[in-house]
Amino acid sequence: MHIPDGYISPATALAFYGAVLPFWWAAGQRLKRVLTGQLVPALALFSAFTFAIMMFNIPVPGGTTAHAVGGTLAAVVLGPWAAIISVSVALIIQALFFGDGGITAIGANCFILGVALPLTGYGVYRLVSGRSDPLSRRRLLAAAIGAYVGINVAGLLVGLALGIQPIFWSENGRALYSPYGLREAVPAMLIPHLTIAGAAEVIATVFGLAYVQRAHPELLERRAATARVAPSARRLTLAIFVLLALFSPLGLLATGSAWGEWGSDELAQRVGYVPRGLEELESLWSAPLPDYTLPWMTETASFAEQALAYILSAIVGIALIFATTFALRILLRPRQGQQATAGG
Amino acid sequence: MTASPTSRRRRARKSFVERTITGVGAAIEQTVYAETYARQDGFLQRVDPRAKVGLFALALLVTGLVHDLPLLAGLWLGLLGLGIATRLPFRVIAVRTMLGVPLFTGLVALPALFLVDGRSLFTIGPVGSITLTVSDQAVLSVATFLLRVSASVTLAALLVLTTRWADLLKALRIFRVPDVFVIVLGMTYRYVFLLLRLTENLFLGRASRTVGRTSSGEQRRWVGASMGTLMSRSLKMSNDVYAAMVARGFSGDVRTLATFRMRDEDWLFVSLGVALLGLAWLVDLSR
Repeated sequence: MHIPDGYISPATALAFYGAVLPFWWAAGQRLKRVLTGQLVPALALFSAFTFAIMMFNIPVPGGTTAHAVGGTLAAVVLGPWAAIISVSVALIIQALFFGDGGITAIGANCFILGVALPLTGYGVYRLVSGRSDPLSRRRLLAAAIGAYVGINVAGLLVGLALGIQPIFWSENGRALYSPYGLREAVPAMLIPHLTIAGAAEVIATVFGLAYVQRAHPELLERRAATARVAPSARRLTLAIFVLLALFSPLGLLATGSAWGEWGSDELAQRVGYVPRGLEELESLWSAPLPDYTLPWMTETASFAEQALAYILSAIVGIALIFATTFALRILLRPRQGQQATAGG
Repeated sequence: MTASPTSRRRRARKSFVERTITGVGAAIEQTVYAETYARQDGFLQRVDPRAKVGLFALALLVTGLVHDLPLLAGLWLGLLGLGIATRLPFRVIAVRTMLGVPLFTGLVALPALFLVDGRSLFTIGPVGSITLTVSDQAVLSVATFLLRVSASVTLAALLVLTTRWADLLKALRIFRVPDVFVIVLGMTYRYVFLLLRLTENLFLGRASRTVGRTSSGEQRRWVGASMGTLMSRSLKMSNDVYAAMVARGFSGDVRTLATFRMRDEDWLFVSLGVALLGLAWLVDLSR
């Protein structure tokens, strides 16, 4: 799940660093206001906690065990901003000292597991839980759905990040980084996340939250109370970052398309292998590749199949992103007592 | 630890409790050893942490950018040589740089041999209706991938095994990482071990209390409750730690002692390293 060093190109790694920095900054600013002097010890302990729960083996139905990230659980109990920082710090410590996940890939891992996962998970959680009692069963259901969607968005993003590697970074048909195209990387990441890893995340989140509801209800009630205050300035900042979040995967593709265009010209002149991903790409990005006419591209029998696989994964991705946006929109809405229920 | 005899007997079906205890134990052990090697005398251990962090970051970048296969192989072998030159036990280098991530990567990359298109080298089968074709480009792709990952992992391992964690964190400042962030990283690292010990105790406690099998529902409730316990403990601890910090005069501002001093040897190390990496890059560009 953590991307190691050497799996993604330095350009991809840099793009992810760029994507994650604004979130760290925003989270830092927000937490500085909320925690004031307590910032340092609170974040350190939250991060250490997140690190520790990543070590838990969760018994998953079917007799196997898996690790959970706990990003949604952290976001629900500690708040989304604290979750961003604590998951990120835990991931950085893992990369620096435990060799878990690459050092160049810290930006990618932190963006995917530390930002996309908790924000999506939390957004869906807020959407489903609406204005229900923080100690109700509906909150557990909301956390379960949030955790499941969150971990799968993360899985999809890892699949996309790995899958674009051979499309943009190949030389004479030799893949320079992770060799699998979107057709292999996306299902390879999504299938375990839809099943085992998804189950582990749901179990950790639901049973963890159920325990907090039982044993420390004051934590959840306090959060529900503070969540109601939403100054309008924060909404604007948040909206900007939501936009950034939405465009960052697009930005990855867009900067890459320049590379892809250049790569296609290069490849067109040479004999031999053309990355399979390039064919998938053509179905989506016809504009950057207008007169790209390769004989073997049209005669591939499985072209429709590939296109379908790609479009399907794109639809899943877009639907999930829409769910996130919608959830975040509700999250950003000022909380007044009389307002209608958010989630129906 | 105590779980090892049991786990050895039933390696095939370890429970989630045993797996967690083993995992936590291994994590603690790994960092303790890393710290021991970092304290030993050796060539890389003596280099100023800032110089080392800066140069290793550059080396990671170059390793990421290099296209040429023999050059990648050369980089990797050179790094292994550096590891031996700095008096790390060969067993440790081997475990860190060949098992673990590279081994995992090898398994991950195996199917790519049959999936990447190119000029066919040889075919396996047909077995039933399946014929597997291995192409030259597939072999090259997998080799590039494996070598790049191995070289990067070796770099990261060398850095961690020869730098004490406190120095490594302080050295992050050359990347303009804010002080607050460095302090949070440092404190987190400290408390990770405390919470890992707590986790280990929770799981050991359960292992020693449990006889026979429990229902999967009970297991899940217990795991959830342990996470909750850990969370409430860390929240309480963060309040206590804050109170203790305030009691010792902490005002919210972060001040640190900067004790590093670059010696001539460090400058030599940096300039030599940059020159070598630059040369590698140029060679790669000319290919």
